[in-house]
Amino acid sequence: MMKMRGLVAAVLRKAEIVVKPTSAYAHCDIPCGIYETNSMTTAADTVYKMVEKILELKGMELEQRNSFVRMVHVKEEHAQKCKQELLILWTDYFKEEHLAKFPDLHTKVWKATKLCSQAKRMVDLKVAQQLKEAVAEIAQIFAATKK
Amino acid sequence: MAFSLLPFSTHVVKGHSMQPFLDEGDRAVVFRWAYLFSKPKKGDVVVFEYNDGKEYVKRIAAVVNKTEFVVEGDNRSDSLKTPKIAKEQIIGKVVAKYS
Repeated sequence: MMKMRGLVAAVLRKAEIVVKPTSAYAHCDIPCGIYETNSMTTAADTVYKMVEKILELKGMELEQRNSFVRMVHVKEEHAQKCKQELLILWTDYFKEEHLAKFPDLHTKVWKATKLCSQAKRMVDLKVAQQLKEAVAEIAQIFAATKK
Repeated sequence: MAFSLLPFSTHVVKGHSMQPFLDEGDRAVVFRWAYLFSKPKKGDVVVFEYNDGKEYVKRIAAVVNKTEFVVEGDNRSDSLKTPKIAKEQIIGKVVAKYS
Protein backbone atom coordinates (compact mmCIF):
# COMPACT_ATOMS: atom_id res chain seq x y z
CA MET A 1 0.00 0.00 0.00
CA MET A 2 1.18 3.45 -0.86
CA LYS A 3 1.70 5.98 1.92
CA MET A 4 1.18 9.49 0.61
CA ARG A 5 3.35 12.15 2.19
CA GLY A 6 4.30 15.77 1.79
CA LEU A 7 2.59 17.81 -0.88
CA VAL A 8 0.25 15.03 -2.05
CA ALA A 9 -1.01 14.43 1.49
CA ALA A 10 -1.37 18.18 2.05
CA VAL A 11 -3.40 18.58 -1.16
CA LEU A 12 -5.64 15.67 -0.18
CA ARG A 13 -6.19 17.20 3.26
CA LYS A 14 -7.20 20.48 1.60
CA ALA A 15 -9.55 18.59 -0.69
CA GLU A 16 -11.36 17.31 2.40
CA ILE A 17 -12.87 20.78 2.77
CA VAL A 18 -14.84 20.07 -0.42
CA VAL A 19 -15.27 16.30 -0.20
CA LYS A 20 -15.50 15.19 3.40
CA PRO A 21 -14.15 11.69 4.06
CA THR A 22 -16.57 9.29 5.71
CA SER A 23 -15.70 7.32 8.83
CA ALA A 24 -14.46 3.76 8.52
CA TYR A 25 -14.49 2.07 11.87
CA ALA A 26 -11.46 0.04 12.72
CA HIS A 27 -12.99 0.04 16.12
CA CYS A 28 -14.05 -3.29 17.23
CA ASP A 29 -17.39 -3.20 18.94
CA ILE A 30 -19.22 -5.17 16.27
CA PRO A 31 -16.60 -7.02 14.26
CA CYS A 32 -13.83 -7.79 16.77
CA GLY A 33 -14.63 -6.59 20.26
CA ILE A 34 -11.21 -5.03 20.77
CA TYR A 35 -11.19 -2.70 23.74
CA GLU A 36 -8.22 -1.69 25.78
CA THR A 37 -7.21 0.83 28.43
CA ASN A 38 -3.54 1.32 27.55
CA SER A 39 -4.27 4.23 25.21
CA MET A 40 -6.18 6.28 27.77
CA THR A 41 -3.63 5.48 30.48
CA THR A 42 -0.75 6.59 28.27
CA ALA A 43 -2.68 9.72 27.30
CA ALA A 44 -3.34 10.62 30.96
CA ASP A 45 0.32 9.96 31.84
CA THR A 46 1.38 12.21 28.96
CA VAL A 47 -0.88 15.01 30.20
CA TYR A 48 0.72 14.73 33.65
CA LYS A 49 4.23 14.74 32.19
CA MET A 50 3.50 17.79 30.04
CA VAL A 51 2.11 19.76 33.00
CA GLU A 52 5.22 18.84 34.95
CA LYS A 53 7.47 19.98 32.12
CA ILE A 54 5.54 23.22 31.58
CA LEU A 55 5.87 24.07 35.26
CA GLU A 56 9.60 23.37 35.12
CA LEU A 57 10.15 25.73 32.18
CA LYS A 58 12.26 28.75 32.95
CA GLY A 59 12.97 31.86 30.89
CA MET A 60 11.20 33.39 27.92
CA GLU A 61 13.82 32.90 25.26
CA LEU A 62 12.75 31.70 21.83
CA GLU A 63 13.72 28.13 22.63
CA GLN A 64 11.67 28.09 25.85
CA ARG A 65 8.70 29.70 24.15
CA ASN A 66 8.88 27.09 21.40
CA SER A 67 9.04 24.29 23.98
CA PHE A 68 6.12 25.83 25.88
CA VAL A 69 3.89 25.89 22.79
CA ARG A 70 4.83 22.33 21.91
CA MET A 71 4.13 21.07 25.42
CA VAL A 72 0.76 22.80 25.57
CA HIS A 73 -0.08 21.29 22.19
CA VAL A 74 0.82 17.78 23.34
CA LYS A 75 -1.11 18.26 26.60
CA GLU A 76 -4.17 19.41 24.65
CA GLU A 77 -3.92 16.55 22.17
CA HIS A 78 -3.55 13.83 24.80
CA ALA A 79 -6.26 15.18 27.07
CA GLN A 80 -8.61 15.00 24.08
CA LYS A 81 -7.39 11.51 23.20
CA CYS A 82 -7.95 10.41 26.79
CA LYS A 83 -11.50 11.75 26.65
CA GLN A 84 -12.17 9.93 23.39
CA GLU A 85 -10.87 6.65 24.75
CA LEU A 86 -13.00 6.99 27.87
CA LEU A 87 -16.07 7.73 25.80
CA ILE A 88 -15.45 4.71 23.56
CA LEU A 89 -15.41 2.44 26.59
CA TRP A 90 -18.43 4.16 28.07
CA THR A 91 -20.61 4.13 24.99
CA ASP A 92 -19.45 0.94 23.29
CA TYR A 93 -17.97 -1.44 25.84
CA PHE A 94 -19.67 -1.05 29.21
CA LYS A 95 -23.01 -2.82 29.38
CA GLU A 96 -25.93 -3.10 31.79
CA GLU A 97 -24.34 -6.04 33.61
CA HIS A 98 -21.22 -3.95 34.28
CA LEU A 99 -23.37 -1.14 35.66
CA ALA A 100 -25.11 -3.56 37.98
CA LYS A 101 -21.73 -4.55 39.35
CA PHE A 102 -20.31 -1.00 39.38
CA PRO A 103 -23.31 1.30 39.97
CA ASP A 104 -21.19 4.46 40.10
CA LEU A 105 -19.60 3.77 36.72
CA HIS A 106 -21.51 6.55 34.94
CA THR A 107 -20.40 9.10 37.53
CA LYS A 108 -16.80 7.90 37.41
CA VAL A 109 -16.60 8.15 33.61
CA TRP A 110 -18.39 11.48 33.59
CA LYS A 111 -15.98 12.90 36.20
CA ALA A 112 -12.97 11.52 34.34
CA THR A 113 -14.05 13.16 31.06
CA LYS A 114 -14.62 16.43 32.95
CA LEU A 115 -11.05 16.13 34.25
CA CYS A 116 -9.85 15.79 30.64
CA SER A 117 -11.49 19.13 29.86
CA GLN A 118 -10.02 20.68 32.97
CA ALA A 119 -6.58 19.36 32.09
CA LYS A 120 -6.87 21.08 28.72
CA ARG A 121 -7.99 24.35 30.23
CA MET A 122 -5.48 24.49 33.08
CA VAL A 123 -1.85 23.86 33.90
CA ASP A 124 -2.42 22.21 37.24
CA LEU A 125 -0.48 19.22 38.49
CA LYS A 126 -3.25 18.38 40.94
CA VAL A 127 -5.80 18.11 38.13
CA ALA A 128 -3.39 16.02 36.05
CA GLN A 129 -2.88 13.69 39.02
CA GLN A 130 -6.64 13.39 39.56
CA LEU A 131 -7.02 12.52 35.88
CA LYS A 132 -4.40 9.78 36.16
CA GLU A 133 -6.16 8.34 39.21
CA ALA A 134 -9.61 8.52 37.62
CA VAL A 135 -8.36 6.77 34.49
CA ALA A 136 -6.57 4.12 36.54
CA GLU A 137 -9.77 3.44 38.46
CA ILE A 138 -11.77 2.97 35.24
CA ALA A 139 -9.00 0.75 33.88
CA GLN A 140 -9.33 -1.39 37.01
CA ILE A 141 -13.10 -1.66 36.51
CA PHE A 142 -12.49 -2.62 32.89
CA ALA A 143 -10.02 -5.32 33.98
CA ALA A 144 -12.52 -6.60 36.55
CA THR A 145 -15.20 -7.00 33.86
CA LYS A 146 -12.82 -9.16 31.87
CA LYS A 147 -12.45 -11.73 34.65
CA MET B 1 -22.47 -2.23 -3.03
CA ALA B 2 -24.02 -0.23 -5.84
CA PHE B 3 -21.65 0.80 -8.62
CA SER B 4 -19.97 4.10 -7.87
CA LEU B 5 -19.17 6.62 -10.56
CA LEU B 6 -16.23 7.84 -8.54
CA PRO B 7 -13.36 5.34 -8.54
CA PHE B 8 -11.87 6.55 -5.25
CA SER B 9 -13.13 7.64 -1.88
CA THR B 10 -11.40 8.58 1.36
CA HIS B 11 -12.30 7.38 4.83
CA VAL B 12 -11.12 8.51 8.25
CA VAL B 13 -10.01 5.56 10.34
CA LYS B 14 -11.66 5.40 13.76
CA GLY B 15 -10.26 2.98 16.30
CA HIS B 16 -7.22 0.81 16.78
CA SER B 17 -8.01 -2.61 15.43
CA MET B 18 -6.06 -2.10 12.20
CA GLN B 19 -2.85 -1.02 13.89
CA PRO B 20 -0.06 -0.98 12.87
CA PHE B 21 -1.33 -0.90 9.26
CA LEU B 22 -3.74 1.98 9.90
CA ASP B 23 -3.69 4.23 12.92
CA GLU B 24 -6.61 6.13 14.35
CA GLY B 25 -7.12 9.30 12.29
CA ASP B 26 -5.33 7.99 9.19
CA ARG B 27 -7.07 8.57 5.90
CA ALA B 28 -7.58 5.40 3.88
CA VAL B 29 -7.86 5.87 0.13
CA VAL B 30 -10.26 3.27 -1.22
CA PHE B 31 -10.40 2.06 -4.83
CA ARG B 32 -14.09 1.42 -5.32
CA TRP B 33 -13.68 -0.31 -8.67
CA ALA B 34 -11.09 -2.80 -7.38
CA TYR B 35 -13.50 -5.73 -7.51
CA LEU B 36 -15.37 -4.96 -10.71
CA PHE B 37 -13.39 -7.54 -12.63
CA SER B 38 -11.62 -9.42 -9.88
CA LYS B 39 -12.49 -11.05 -6.60
CA PRO B 40 -11.47 -9.95 -3.14
CA LYS B 41 -8.67 -12.15 -1.85
CA LYS B 42 -7.12 -13.05 1.47
CA GLY B 43 -4.90 -10.26 2.74
CA ASP B 44 -6.80 -7.41 1.07
CA VAL B 45 -7.73 -4.54 3.36
CA VAL B 46 -11.27 -3.50 2.54
CA VAL B 47 -13.86 -0.98 3.62
CA PHE B 48 -17.29 -2.56 3.89
CA GLU B 49 -20.73 -1.75 5.14
CA TYR B 50 -21.71 -3.98 8.01
CA ASN B 51 -25.21 -5.04 9.03
CA ASP B 52 -25.44 -2.16 11.50
CA GLY B 53 -25.20 0.35 8.63
CA LYS B 54 -21.72 1.55 9.65
CA GLU B 55 -18.64 1.33 7.46
CA TYR B 56 -15.68 -0.67 8.76
CA VAL B 57 -12.13 -1.23 7.61
CA LYS B 58 -10.71 -4.71 8.09
CA ARG B 59 -8.43 -7.26 6.45
CA ILE B 60 -9.82 -10.31 4.67
CA ALA B 61 -8.59 -13.28 6.70
CA ALA B 62 -10.26 -16.04 4.70
CA VAL B 63 -12.55 -16.69 1.78
CA VAL B 64 -15.44 -19.07 2.46
CA ASN B 65 -17.27 -20.85 -0.37
CA LYS B 66 -15.92 -18.20 -2.79
CA THR B 67 -18.76 -15.85 -1.81
CA GLU B 68 -18.20 -14.97 1.82
CA PHE B 69 -15.25 -13.28 3.42
CA VAL B 70 -14.06 -13.52 6.99
CA VAL B 71 -12.63 -10.18 8.04
CA GLU B 72 -10.62 -9.22 11.07
CA GLY B 73 -8.45 -6.48 12.48
CA ASP B 74 -4.67 -6.67 12.38
CA ASN B 75 -4.52 -5.83 16.09
CA ARG B 76 -6.11 -9.03 17.32
CA SER B 77 -4.83 -9.11 20.90
CA ASP B 78 -8.35 -8.90 22.22
CA SER B 79 -10.38 -10.07 19.26
CA LEU B 80 -13.69 -11.61 20.17
CA LYS B 81 -15.53 -12.05 16.91
CA THR B 82 -14.69 -12.18 13.25
CA PRO B 83 -17.72 -11.61 11.09
CA LYS B 84 -18.41 -12.85 7.59
CA ILE B 85 -19.37 -10.42 4.88
CA ALA B 86 -20.56 -10.78 1.30
CA LYS B 87 -18.90 -9.22 -1.73
CA GLU B 88 -21.90 -6.90 -2.09
CA GLN B 89 -21.06 -5.34 1.27
CA ILE B 90 -17.53 -4.40 0.19
CA ILE B 91 -17.16 -0.75 -0.79
CA GLY B 92 -13.62 -1.10 -2.07
CA LYS B 93 -10.02 -1.94 -1.43
CA VAL B 94 -7.65 0.27 0.57
CA VAL B 95 -4.84 1.20 -1.81
CA ALA B 96 -3.17 4.15 -0.09
CA LYS B 97 -3.16 6.13 3.11
CA TYR B 98 -2.21 9.56 4.36
CA SER B 99 -2.44 11.28 7.68
